[in-house]
Amino acid sequence: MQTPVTDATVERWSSRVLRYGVWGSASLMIIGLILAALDSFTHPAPEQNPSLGELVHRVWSLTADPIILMYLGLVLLMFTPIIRVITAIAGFAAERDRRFAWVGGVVLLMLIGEIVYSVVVK
Amino acid sequence: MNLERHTVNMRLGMLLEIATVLGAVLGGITANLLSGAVLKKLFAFLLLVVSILMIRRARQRRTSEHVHLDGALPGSFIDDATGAEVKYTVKRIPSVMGVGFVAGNVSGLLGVGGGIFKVPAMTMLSGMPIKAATATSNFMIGVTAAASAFIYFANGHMDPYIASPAVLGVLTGSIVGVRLGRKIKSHVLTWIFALVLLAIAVQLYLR
Repeated sequence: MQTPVTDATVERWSSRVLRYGVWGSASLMIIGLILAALDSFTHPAPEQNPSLGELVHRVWSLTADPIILMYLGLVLLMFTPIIRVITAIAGFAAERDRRFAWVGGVVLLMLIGEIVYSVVVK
Repeated sequence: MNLERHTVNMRLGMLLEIATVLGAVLGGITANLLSGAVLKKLFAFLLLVVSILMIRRARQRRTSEHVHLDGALPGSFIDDATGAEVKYTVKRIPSVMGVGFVAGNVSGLLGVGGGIFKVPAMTMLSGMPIKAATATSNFMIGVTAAASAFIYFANGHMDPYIASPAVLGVLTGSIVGVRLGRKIKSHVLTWIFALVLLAIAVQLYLR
């Protein structure tokens, strides 16, 4: 039985994730920079980067300022490759290429492990 | 863009991501064993040798690259510069993963990107066409940078007024670079890469 998902499909999914992630983050940064410029850059960068929770809260409560928008863009950019790895794992699994689905799983685990160690332990 | 044109070898990219991330995680050990100055001189010499080898390849001025078809992880793409389909396979995967490990290990210490190690390894060790090698290297950049980016963010080292314009500049440059790269012939791209390697080798030595 022929599987409907091919390498070209996985490439297309990964390409879309990267494209939407990168353009989404660029859009947030551009909007943030324009708003900051219109305000004559009166919003100073904080001494400590906001936490991810704070970023989500500010967006949810519609209290995001230009700085928060720029941070959101940067965070989206950082998450984009991770989402790309997840997409590739799903694609290889759908293609019945278990070996490389596992390879992707190892990459994802290593990334998550390093991030958790750095953010939580350090 | 490279994914859509099938120039990325995703499977090789993911294998190299494992090696590079592992190398980056263990980079702290290398930093303790060797001084930064010694490491810089050592890699400056290594990059000089690699750039000379790449220049020799580019001087052969082949209209089509010599590729192996008896390896693993087959790939193919249409070379926009010639209109021809290029088919290839990847040889010596463990050796290239070893280079990926070294790239992840020392690139942070040297202040250079891992691509300057991985692209020559993919072309010279694995026999990949240079356009596939550079596309695969670019594919990996996000993953290898993501982990360290979170560390810097968590430690409060990210100024959005500096990071945002830098990101937008790099994004613009990379779009232009990919479009130009499609139209350049492979041996010309090899020359450009070899000369950039040479410049980095000199810069590393003089630092």
